[in-house]
Amino acid sequence: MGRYIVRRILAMAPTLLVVYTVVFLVAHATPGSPWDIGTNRPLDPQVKANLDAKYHLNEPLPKQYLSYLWNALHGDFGPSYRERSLTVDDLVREFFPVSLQIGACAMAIAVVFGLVLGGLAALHRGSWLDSTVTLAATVGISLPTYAFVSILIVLLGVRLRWVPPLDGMG
Amino acid sequence: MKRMLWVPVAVLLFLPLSLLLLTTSIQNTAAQNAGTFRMMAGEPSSLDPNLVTDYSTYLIVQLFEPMYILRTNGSLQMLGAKSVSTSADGLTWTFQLNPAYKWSDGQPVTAADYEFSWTRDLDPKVGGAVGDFLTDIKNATEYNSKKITDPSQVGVTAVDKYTLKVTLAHPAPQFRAVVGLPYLQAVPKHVVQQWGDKWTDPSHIVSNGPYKLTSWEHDKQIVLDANPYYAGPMKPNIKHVVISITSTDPCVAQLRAYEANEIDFATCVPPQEISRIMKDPKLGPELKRLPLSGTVWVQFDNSRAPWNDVRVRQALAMVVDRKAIVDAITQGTATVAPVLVPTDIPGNNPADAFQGSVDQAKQLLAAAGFPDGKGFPKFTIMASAARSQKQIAELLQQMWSDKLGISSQVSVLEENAYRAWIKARKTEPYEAVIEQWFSDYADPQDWHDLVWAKDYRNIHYSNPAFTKLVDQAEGELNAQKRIALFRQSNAILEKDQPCIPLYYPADLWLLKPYVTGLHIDQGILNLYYLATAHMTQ
Repeated sequence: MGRYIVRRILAMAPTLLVVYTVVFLVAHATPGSPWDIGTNRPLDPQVKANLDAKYHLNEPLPKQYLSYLWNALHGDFGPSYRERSLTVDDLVREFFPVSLQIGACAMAIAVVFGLVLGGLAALHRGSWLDSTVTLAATVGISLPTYAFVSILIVLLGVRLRWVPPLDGMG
Repeated sequence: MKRMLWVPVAVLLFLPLSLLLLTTSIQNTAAQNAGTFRMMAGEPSSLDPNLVTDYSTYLIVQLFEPMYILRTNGSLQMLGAKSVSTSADGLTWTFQLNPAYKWSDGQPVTAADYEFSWTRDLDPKVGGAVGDFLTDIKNATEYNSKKITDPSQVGVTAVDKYTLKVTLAHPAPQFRAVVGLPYLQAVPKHVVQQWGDKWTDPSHIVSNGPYKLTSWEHDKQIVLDANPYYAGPMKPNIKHVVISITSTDPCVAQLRAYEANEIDFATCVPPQEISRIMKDPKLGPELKRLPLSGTVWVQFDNSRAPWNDVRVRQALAMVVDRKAIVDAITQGTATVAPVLVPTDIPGNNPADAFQGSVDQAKQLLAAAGFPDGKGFPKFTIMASAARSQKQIAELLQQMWSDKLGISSQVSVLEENAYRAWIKARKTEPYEAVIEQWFSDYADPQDWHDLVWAKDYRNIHYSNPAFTKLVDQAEGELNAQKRIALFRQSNAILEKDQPCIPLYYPADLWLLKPYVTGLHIDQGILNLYYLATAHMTQ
């Protein structure tokens, strides 16, 4: 069992490498630069050149590919383009606990509901309970999450005020 | 069956319990507290005045004050500076600072801070976008492009503690308007030197404006408090400001929050909601319309046929129904643009407006070789997916087809791809595209020179008479003669119609009735100062 787990973890490495390569290529193939979002004037070519030099975007692609990979493996994910005073590590450190908390809550609800309802449905196969649970599960899987969640936010947040609809998290 | 009943009951009880778990781990939004002003914004890319010229500026101006602001009537409201004087040759500008100004840690704001700040604006290693506005200063472009490496050679010098001397590379009367820009505030030299890139962290940052930064939880919330050391005229009436950060469409998020009474002020309204809000008995009166100094237009590649023929451009201009566009796209909140340069820019002359009848247009098109539109090549109107440009293009397509018999197709690009496409038009050909320009500062040079002479939008307009007048106006130190020259170039521009003006956009705000005093002092960018607002409850 231990060997199986280790093997599965090691198998992650080539997958991650492929993901990294694809994302790297797509990011560089996309038109536009990270710099002139939301400005009126076109970015001065000199300013763009300075920014590219600062963020190493003017280096040859293979060098960028390898140096970023090397840094990432050492835990340095580089500066943020979106937030000029932060690094990506700062951002991850900020967001990860929140994602973990939300994820854990969601997991807890899913596991408890899933096990209990699924068990009940199995035990009373063919009954109204089974049909209701199966119907609910099918609907839940089919509905796109964003649609369902929007309805919940309007219902529970805006209409009933059971939860704050907006929390500054967007 | 009855034995197992407790299981579904327990499950049903678990549902509200787990919801409770979720909600207690999420902070509650600030309820409407007396004395706290609540608003919403997108996460700023930086709060460093030297770095950015994007929407972060709206937050930066609450914290930092420049030397002065240029009011819409052309007068200066002195802030960080007491006075400004120019030498007779227009090359040396001397600024006397107001010694009362202090940073929010009590340290005085000195000329050394401004010298450090404006040099840092140009530092190639910092890569700030603000340096672009300082190109008139001696050795500015040389330093920024690394031709010289010694920053002390740049024409900005702190002569003594409160006197700053700026030497220009050539006479540039628009520099008066440039200094009033929101981007040229000073940064605290002592803090930036100590903390480097991290100086904007809430624990380090100090500012000289009405507010100071109390906390910045990224992507969550920004809190501002009144700056106890602020010495300027805009002492804040509201002492505590809470800005929620949204990562979704800020107009949609703000409207939702405003209607749920979670914020007191919304800075924009989603276009598809404008009609509903205007008709709403409660929201309608709370909607405020603020015209912007900017123009939306359709431009052509003036270097290629048939767009290089002025008669073609004029014919197309004559049949455009601007009012229909303004009504359809902006529900009447924008203003019809009779001329390219907005009315608040000096030298503007609405009498230059180019107009004509549909018959005249048909005659012009026939004279250009396309009677009844026959033989006119089918062309592409490019538009961005943002700012309703697609709908504008479709309306124009219809007008030109109906009135002149020429056909076109509309092509839409995602915003980032659109910006990259526009940049590539420097050398790549195109036909027509919906574009716009907003005034950077209240001076005609920002329009006549940057947009058409220096071709920042790749319109490729070329008229030697126009360019000559603009060059002459550049160096003209006498203000009246200068404006007269720009009036002449304006007349030529309107006759040539390199682009067809459509409308001047307007910002739409929603303000709760208990918020008063919040207004615009300068139409450029519609910057607002929270320090001028009052809350009457």
